[in-house]
Amino acid sequence: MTPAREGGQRRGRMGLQMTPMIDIVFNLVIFFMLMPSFEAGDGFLPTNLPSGLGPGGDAPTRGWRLDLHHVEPWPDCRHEARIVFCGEPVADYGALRERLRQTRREADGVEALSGEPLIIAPDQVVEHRHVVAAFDAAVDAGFKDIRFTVPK
Amino acid sequence: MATIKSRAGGGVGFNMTPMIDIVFNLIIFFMLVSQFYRLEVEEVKLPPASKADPHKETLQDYTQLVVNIVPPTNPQDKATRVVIGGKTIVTFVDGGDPPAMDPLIDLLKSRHEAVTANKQKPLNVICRAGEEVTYDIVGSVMIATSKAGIKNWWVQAARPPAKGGREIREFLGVANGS
Repeated sequence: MTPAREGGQRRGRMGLQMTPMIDIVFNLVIFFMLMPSFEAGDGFLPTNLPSGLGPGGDAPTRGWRLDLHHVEPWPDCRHEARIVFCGEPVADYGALRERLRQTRREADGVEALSGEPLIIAPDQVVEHRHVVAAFDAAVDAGFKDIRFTVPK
Repeated sequence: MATIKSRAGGGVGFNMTPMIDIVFNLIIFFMLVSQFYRLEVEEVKLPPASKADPHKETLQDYTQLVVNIVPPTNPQDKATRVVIGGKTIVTFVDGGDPPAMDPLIDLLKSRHEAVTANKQKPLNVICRAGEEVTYDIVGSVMIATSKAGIKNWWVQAARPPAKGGREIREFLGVANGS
């Protein structure tokens, strides 16, 4: 208790102790300085589902096709996927990103191609992270109409 | 707690300090709690995506429905669960027959109908699937969602932390995206 406050009480006045308040303010400052670093590491990749989605639906005939094939893993290794874009194998997601950007640039110059969808066609046993990585690469390249094939 | 002390001299002392402490604590508490809208969220390791965006403004235009797809938690466990609001709706067993999706379709349909009947904002399904969940399961949930008449499908993913955040998270042992 500070002498000032004691004096204040002695005189019967309201006492305002600044020290704890400053402590709290410093805590808040530290909190807000750190917060951006921790800020929810989650975000969303939005898409629309077509109505009547299901095994009975017709396979889309237009657009670019991006296949994700399951690769049998080595023991104790993570499941990997083989990436095939328009029939051509792609080494990894970095290369896919570049390939999709190039495709997007070329398509943007041609009116007939600019609205074509990108169809991501994963194998049934491909892990979700591969699908998201492909989706992410497509969003990054600027594709707006991104569709998925669904398992039969 | 504020204390009022009566002294012999008749003066009244009003100690503001603890009250201010409490008020600040309450502010911090409610600020944190507001961040944790995720009561419906299960603990899963989300796949990373650099272009995943929080969509803070757009998110408010929808009524959210979080669909968790939780992979097995230990090597003996072979069940991948579809969890909504803390309840397991469908369970996929590794190597087993595909489960009936009717409970999930019915639940999604009832939510969709309730939202439409109450003239709420359109329903938005947030798919929160663990990164190692296989596509047959995610695809089955997509089909069920479509069958329920819901069109908005958002995939939740882990964004890379802000500059400097990765080091702090690693230092503190915070798992990325979980």
